[in-house]
Amino acid sequence: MSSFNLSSAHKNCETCPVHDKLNLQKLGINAQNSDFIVALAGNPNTGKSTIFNALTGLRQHTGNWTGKTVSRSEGSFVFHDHKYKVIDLPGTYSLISSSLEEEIARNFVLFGKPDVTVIVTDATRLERNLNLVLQMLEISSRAIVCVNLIDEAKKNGITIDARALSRDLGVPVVLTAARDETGMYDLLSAIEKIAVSEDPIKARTIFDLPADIAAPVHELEVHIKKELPNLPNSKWLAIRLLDNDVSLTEALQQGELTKMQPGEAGSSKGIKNRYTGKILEAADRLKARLPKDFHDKIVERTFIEAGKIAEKAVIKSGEKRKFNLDIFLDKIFISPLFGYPVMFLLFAFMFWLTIAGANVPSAFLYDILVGTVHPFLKTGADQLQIPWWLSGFFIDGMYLATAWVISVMLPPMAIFFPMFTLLEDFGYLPRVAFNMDSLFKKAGAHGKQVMTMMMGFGCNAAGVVATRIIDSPRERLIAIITNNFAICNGRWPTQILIASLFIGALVPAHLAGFVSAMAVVGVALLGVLLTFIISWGLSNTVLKGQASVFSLELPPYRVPKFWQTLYKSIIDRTLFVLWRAVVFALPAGAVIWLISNIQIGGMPVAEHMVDFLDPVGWFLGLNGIILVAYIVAIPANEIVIPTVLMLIVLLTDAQNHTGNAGVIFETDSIESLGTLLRNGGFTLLTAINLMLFSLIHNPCSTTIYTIFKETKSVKWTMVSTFLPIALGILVTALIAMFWRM
Amino acid sequence: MMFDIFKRKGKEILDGSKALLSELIPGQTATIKSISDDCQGVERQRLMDLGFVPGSLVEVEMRSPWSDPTAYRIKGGLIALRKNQACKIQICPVQ
Repeated sequence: MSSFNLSSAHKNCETCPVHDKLNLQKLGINAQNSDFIVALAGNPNTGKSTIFNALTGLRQHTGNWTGKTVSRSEGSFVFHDHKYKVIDLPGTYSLISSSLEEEIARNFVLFGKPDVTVIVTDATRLERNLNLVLQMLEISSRAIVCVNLIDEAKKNGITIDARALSRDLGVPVVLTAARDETGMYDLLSAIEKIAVSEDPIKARTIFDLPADIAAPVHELEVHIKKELPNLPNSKWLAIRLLDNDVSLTEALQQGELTKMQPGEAGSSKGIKNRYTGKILEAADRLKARLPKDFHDKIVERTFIEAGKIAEKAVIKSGEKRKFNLDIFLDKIFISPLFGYPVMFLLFAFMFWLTIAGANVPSAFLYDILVGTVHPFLKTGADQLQIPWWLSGFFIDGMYLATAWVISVMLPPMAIFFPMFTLLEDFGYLPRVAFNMDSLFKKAGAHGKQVMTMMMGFGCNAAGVVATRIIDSPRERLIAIITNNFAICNGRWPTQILIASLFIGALVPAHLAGFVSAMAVVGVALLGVLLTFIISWGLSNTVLKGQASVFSLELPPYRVPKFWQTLYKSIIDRTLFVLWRAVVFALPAGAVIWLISNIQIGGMPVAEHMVDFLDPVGWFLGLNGIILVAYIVAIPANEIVIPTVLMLIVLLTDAQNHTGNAGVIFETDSIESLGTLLRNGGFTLLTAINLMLFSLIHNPCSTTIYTIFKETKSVKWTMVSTFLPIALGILVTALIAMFWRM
Repeated sequence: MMFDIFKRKGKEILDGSKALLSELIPGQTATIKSISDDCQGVERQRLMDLGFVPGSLVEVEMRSPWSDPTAYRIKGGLIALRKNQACKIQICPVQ
């Protein structure tokens, strides 16, 4: 480690407790361009992300479910000529339960030493939130307690006495309602005041320990103080070491803590060992004198303190329960009678609206991008006498593929994501987890998996990242491996298009929309069923083992801010996913054009590939065209359909010996695509198996990469990749076999 | 014999010596007495962090359609626990 050079860089601020640039850098934060570092900590679902947005204006997505911010986000703001960098830490209930998020949050405040830590709390659940506040104040006194959601509290007849709270905690307290920016100026002023203050701020010493544990803790504290005299939180460290805190013991052994000791930044290993050896020795000796329920006693003690403080600061007025909308809504959403039907209808409605509502804007975009802009570009290229292969590569290859992706993907996403986000912000999704947990439990999985699945319906890579909300490693791995069975946004267009063209066509026109929507829902439900089966299989075989840690908080319902939600979901999800799709469509379009135009033995490469794969395709009830499309589409599922269409056109064109190979398609409307596909040899079997294969095949390359990043295991990445493709081959082959019998 | 079982069970709940959180039905309230010793490690810590500590007032708010998990109102929050967790929490019923 390069601690040597930094010892000198640190010299002049040895004694002041401001942020530690080296540690911040190690934690992934570049502190060079800002004057102050502000950390946001707090319980999950306290509106921490809303505060973050209000401070930075950066649109980080904030859903109304617990544990949404699973990794750190950062943004910055300027206030009174100072530049502040804000780090949004993961929401945690505690700092001492050794889950990944808690460790991230704790280590950041402990080792990064932010100039100000804003602890965001929920005014309606202040007592429990104070548990975290008290723990946080033990490791950093440069803190502000932000009591958020005071508007919600007011509605429940709760007011908070900020002055009493501030007196008891020894740090500034600010009341906010971040949703409408109430109290934000006060918060900014409080942040500034702490940030510029040079005096070490002394928070009230909180822990008043019971006699039988106070003595050993004090003894170790004395030891720590002797070895590391300037460490700001020696009592807390003593408690943590006595409580067998593995990560802190490691930090001590590796010299992280001794480095925090001013003047010891460059200390050699020998000194480090002398410190740590003595302290750990003492801790081991003292542990024997501790009661067995040491940890429990500490937590109880903290809660008793939190209770006392909350009693003075929280003023409840009026009747406790008049008409409670939350309870009323829960009676519907959780009811044995209505719970599942409401859930099913809600999602069916969402899918129907997505399909039905996307038609018009899709056709409109298609008309503009393909009907108008494409010929215009081609004419322009001809007039400028650009060689055919150059304009073919860029305009027919890259441009057309991208134009297709935009016109097919943008409208459904712009409908689905805002609706999904509205449900999310409303607080409905944790209720779905609550309703569904029983099923997930039977499959050996966690109810929260339903949330990650739903995220997967948008994007599997995002779904895999979202599994971090599951804090039990086994259940998390199950959720990662099975996320691919949630049809992602890149596959919806395939499902919707094929269902409308082939399944919808089986019934009279006025029923077509409904029936095709049901077919898509059916495939989605099959994905859900597969999720359960595979989860069950995994938890009973390779992943058999440790028990799960189940916890699920059901946040209060919150009326989403419609326009804000719309804006947020367009920016955060729709454009983000569209951008990713476009990035993949450009090179894929180029590849498609190339394999169609490079000839070997008088035949385009693509045709060779199709011919070669046709027998395999037939066996799976698909065809060579679809398989080639799936190979080209490994980077992104979005381009399967355009590639299929292009290949059909290519093969037909090749037969007619005309030009324009690799042009994605040449139809004037989405409706005539059906005819094109049927001419390309698509049957009802092809359509059904295509829908199934689209559900059950390998994740896209982005998702595979994300799985590797999240699991850090080649083995589980391989399982996640090859399990679905093997299953997909099996399912489609079986269906083809029975179909032909 | 059947009646004996019921009587015994009823009596136990009445004096609260062995009453468990999982035995309460929605609408009932209790104070937490202790978390069973066979609930250890991360699971015990998580329960305590969520407010399931001795002395906390807990109210059963609702059950999932399939009766598991159950949502408990504790320290202002609404927390869902599975039955196999709730049966590890001993309580004193509040009338």
